[in-house]
Amino acid sequence: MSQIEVKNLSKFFYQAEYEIKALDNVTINIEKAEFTALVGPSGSGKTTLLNAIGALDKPTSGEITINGTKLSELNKNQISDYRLHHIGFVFQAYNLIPVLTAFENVEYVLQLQKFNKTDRRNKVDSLFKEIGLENLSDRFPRELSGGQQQRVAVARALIAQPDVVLADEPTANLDSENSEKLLSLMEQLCEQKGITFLFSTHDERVMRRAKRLIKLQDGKIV
Amino acid sequence: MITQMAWRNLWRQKRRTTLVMTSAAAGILGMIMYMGFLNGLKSMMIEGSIESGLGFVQIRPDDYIEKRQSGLTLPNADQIIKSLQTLQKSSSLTFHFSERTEKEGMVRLGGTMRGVNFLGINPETEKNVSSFDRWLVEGEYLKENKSQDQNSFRMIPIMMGKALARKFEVEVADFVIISMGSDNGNVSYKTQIVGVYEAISDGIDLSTVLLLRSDLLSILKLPDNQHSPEYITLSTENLGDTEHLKTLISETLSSVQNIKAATYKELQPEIVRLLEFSDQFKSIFYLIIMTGFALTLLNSILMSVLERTREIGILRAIGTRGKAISLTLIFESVLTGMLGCAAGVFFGGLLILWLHHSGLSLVAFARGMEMMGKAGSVLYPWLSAFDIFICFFITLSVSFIAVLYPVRSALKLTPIKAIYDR
Ligand SMILES: Nc1ncnc2c1ncn2[C@@H]1O[C@H](COP(=O)(O)OP(=O)(O)OP(=O)(O)O)[C@@H](O)[C@H]1O
Ligand SMILES: [Mg+2]
Repeated sequence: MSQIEVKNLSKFFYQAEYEIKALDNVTINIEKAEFTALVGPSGSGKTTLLNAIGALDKPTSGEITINGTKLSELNKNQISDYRLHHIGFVFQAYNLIPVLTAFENVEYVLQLQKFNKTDRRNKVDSLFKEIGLENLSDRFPRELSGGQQQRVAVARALIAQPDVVLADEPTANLDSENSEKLLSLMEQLCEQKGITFLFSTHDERVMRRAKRLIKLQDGKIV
Repeated sequence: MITQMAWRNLWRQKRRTTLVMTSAAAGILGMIMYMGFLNGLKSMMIEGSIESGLGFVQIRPDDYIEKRQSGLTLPNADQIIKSLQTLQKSSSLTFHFSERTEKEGMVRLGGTMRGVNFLGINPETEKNVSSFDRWLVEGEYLKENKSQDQNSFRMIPIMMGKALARKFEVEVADFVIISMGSDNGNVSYKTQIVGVYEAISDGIDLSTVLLLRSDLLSILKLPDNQHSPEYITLSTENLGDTEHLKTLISETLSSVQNIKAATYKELQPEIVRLLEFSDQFKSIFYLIIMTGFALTLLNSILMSVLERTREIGILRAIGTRGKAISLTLIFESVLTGMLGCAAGVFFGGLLILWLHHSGLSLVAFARGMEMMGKAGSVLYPWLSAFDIFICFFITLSVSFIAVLYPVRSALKLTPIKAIYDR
């Protein structure tokens, strides 16, 4: 059994009389600790697929199973908890909560998981050291560069040791140097911690670093 | 961390938050001032009426209580007075009483004339039930006539209010003519002013002239069997004991026929009605102020939800439950309201405290006030702990209610809608 099983997944949007097939009968399996890039032209359904796997959006038909749990069978609060315990998200930009420092942004997830203060402090401190953020921990997001913000966002996605990190164009707003840095970090964490990474991108250089490519076109795998 | 986030969110839009807090503070300040004045007005009316003779409780003939028939004498007065004296010794509630006879009449001097109410008192016991002795500003308080010789000539002593004395341009030791109707037709007497008092309102000053009850009875030339007082007025140390006192008196005198005890509220129902009316008006006033504040608050929180749409989406996406989002907003709202309220209570409280000590002259409105009853002309606003509690309680409730709609719209935001703005 694969870690992520997407079976006959479709997502249709209706706009006026048009039916937009954002995802059209997609079936994929992703194994644990895979480092996978989701590629395809604009409008091909990358974001839609990531949102469906992250249980941010309900598919029109089909089923997603993660570690044996069928997403369609979860209620509202279970979905919140599923995201909290099993999924880490990194969005394209403005990931962080502006009123919390870098440290607090990451700590927040641990608080949702009801860790006590000392545990939270230790965990965040050691992760920040590991990924070289220790000097930025007291800064607010507005005091960080785009690349630094994305690294904090990755730290936040990882702190709870999720099974899967979903990243929708995490490097889109970064220059090539910062993109490289971010990818190296993701790669390192994938290998060391055995976390599955699934990220979408338009960037050739980013694609090249993926271990596996999934290509989408018009909502279909190609 | 929810509280921390809420607190910092508040100060993201410093100007807006300050503005909303100021509006809460201004509203509360208005409420506090209003409460303070109303309290002061109430005290003034109640105390003014009570201290100038109403007392806490009066014992009157049935016909007065039921039909407001005046000029009656109290039946079985001797028996009543004896019972009261016994009760004073045995009861745990300390109270005082004094007998009175009232008569309407006229004060005259030269061409000046004024209708007044002659209050016949027993000066020693009267001290305990009204404040005329303390209000004395010139001359001396009335003294019981000790002279045994009924035939020796003696000028009838009276005490009048300062405002009335000014009208007649008289002072202590001057003479005025008093006249009133008696069984033998209209009688007039030359009297001497021995004391001038200044009550808390000109209304009392102008209308009440005090003299000895024994003198009043002899002026009226009433037969001996009608020398009973018209009524007995009673007071205790504490206005709150009024009902208790009435019950005690009613029980003690239950065997006495044709008399009743009544509280100041029953005797002057217009006071109670005025107080009720002012309370109703107070509620309307609060409602208006608080509706304004609620809308300001609602608008501000709604705006901040809109501005933070993406953030809320992210929070939801990383696993925050709706409850925590709601709590953050509620906390922000309540904090805004409470801080504003605290500021309003603080400044309003200071203002009331200051006015409480300096007093607020109502001379400009004094004429109108007289008509409202026996209200005075200097108002001392005050606040009770309960009033302040009410301010906080109302603000808390309003902050809570006003945030419900923004909370609802925040909860409707799915992460997808919020993050991708679709
Ligand atoms: N909420 C929505 N309402 C209507 N149409 C939508 C909605 N979300 C996505 N779509 C449509 O679904 C299709 C797939 O969109 P999606 O965002 O998944 O593409 P994408 O591959 O992420 O594109 P990009 O590379 O530009 O981010 C597009 O045609 C898009 O217009
Ligand atoms: Mg996309």
